[in-house]
Formats: sequence, C-alpha cells, structure tokens
Amino acid sequence: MTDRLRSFEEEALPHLDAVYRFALRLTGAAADAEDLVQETFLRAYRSWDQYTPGTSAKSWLFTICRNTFLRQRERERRRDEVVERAVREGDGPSVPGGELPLFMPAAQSDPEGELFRDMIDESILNAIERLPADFRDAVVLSDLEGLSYAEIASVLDIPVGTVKSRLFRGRRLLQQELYSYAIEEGYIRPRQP
Amino acid sequence: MSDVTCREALARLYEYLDGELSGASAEEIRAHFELCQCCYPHLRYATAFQEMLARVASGQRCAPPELRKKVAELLRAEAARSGG
Repeated sequence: MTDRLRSFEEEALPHLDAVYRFALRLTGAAADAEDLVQETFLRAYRSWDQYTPGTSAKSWLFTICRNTFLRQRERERRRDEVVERAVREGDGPSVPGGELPLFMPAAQSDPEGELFRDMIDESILNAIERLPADFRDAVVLSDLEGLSYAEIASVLDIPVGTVKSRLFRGRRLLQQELYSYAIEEGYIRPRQP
Repeated sequence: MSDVTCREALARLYEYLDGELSGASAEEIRAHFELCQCCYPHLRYATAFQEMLARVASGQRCAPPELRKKVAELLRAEAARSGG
C-alpha cells in the first residue's frame, strides 16, 4: 500500500460515519447520501495533498462533502432547490436583541433540566431535524459532531459571528421544541403563573 | 465578584461551555457563574441540555457496512490508477 493511501485511511476514513450522517442530512435520502459519501471520499483522496496534517480532518471532509453536494444540486437544478430563508438573522452581537440564551419557560419549570435526562434519543433527533435548516446544521455540527466554531464557519462558509448566533437561537429553539414535546408526553407540567 | 455583568455572562454562556473562550475569559465567566445566584441555574440548565446532546451524539447511526466497503474499494482503485 502507498503511504498516501495509508495516511488517508488512517486520518480520513475514521470519519466515514460522521460524513455519512452529514451527507444524510444534506440529501435527506440514504441512497443519495451513499453516492455523496463516495464522491466526497474520492475527491478528498485526490486532494489529500491539500490537507494540512494536524488540522481537523473531519471538518475538512465536511467542507468537501457540502461543496460537492452544492455543486451537484446546482447541476441538477432540482425544482426544490430554492430554499426560503425564512429565518432572519444578523451577524451582530451574540445575544440577538438582548435575548436570554435559554428558553425560559422550560428553564423555569425545570431548572435542573430533568426533562433532558428522561427523553428518548429518537425524539431528540426528530426535534433536531425539525429545526430550520440553518440552525439545525450549526447545532448538529457543534453538539453532535463536536466541531469548533471556526470549523463550523469554514464548513458552512459563514462568519464565526453567524455560527454563534445560529447556535444561540438553534439551541433555544430546540429547548422550546423539547419542552413542548415533554408537556405533550407528560414528562413535565407547565409552570403555573 | 468579577467585573463581568450577568448580561455578559449569559451572552457568553455557550461560548464558555463550548470551550471557545481563552483562559482568562473562561476563568472570568466561570467565576461569575459560580458566585452569581441568578446566573448559576442557567449554567446548570444549559449543562443538562448539552449533556443530553452528548448522549444522543454517542448513539448516532453509523454508515452501512456496504458503504464502508465500497469506499475502501474505490480508494484502492483510485490509488492503483493514479499510482499513489
């Protein structure tokens, strides 16, 4: 085996699961995700010279995966490609409009966050999938895939300030969603005024 | 108590928890949350929230074994083709 292939297998291949999950979220379908993963790893292997050893191979692969996906989508001109950016956002202060970081009704009725301990993983993942795409991507890359703010900024091609505000709002939206779910399912009772 | 206001501490809550603050800033924020009765519950709550996500992250789905095999074959073929 060549050194190039060996180093690629050692550093890049361990991230196959993470790249697959990322591809699945981008494409929304298992078959498309598998094609995208193959294309991503092939491109990554061809560009392996451009990878800086010691940096995050995971975020480097995510970047290639996303760029490949965007190029494919552009080429195919899918009908549903026009995505409404329904959610306004700015690159301003990390506390948008002076809002608090937490979803307060939830934090007040459950200050210890007990509801998070009882909740089923699948319900949580479903709630994450329901977040608006921009927020979902930031939350997934940070909280599920463990990327740093700088890495997320590079993968999504947005400024670090935008990463912060998307995480801030995305996490609060997720808390809100989980709170509603927890009340529906009877995990907790809404706080009496 | 440190000079950090509650508003600043809350604004940087996630940067603190995400390990995005440098030593001195992280220490300031940590000290504030430790001493401030108003802010401490926010830290507890956000920590529980992130622990939940860490739990979910560890149980996430893996790539199908056939895909892993296909990618390995693809790379070997490419290495053979390009000679490196």
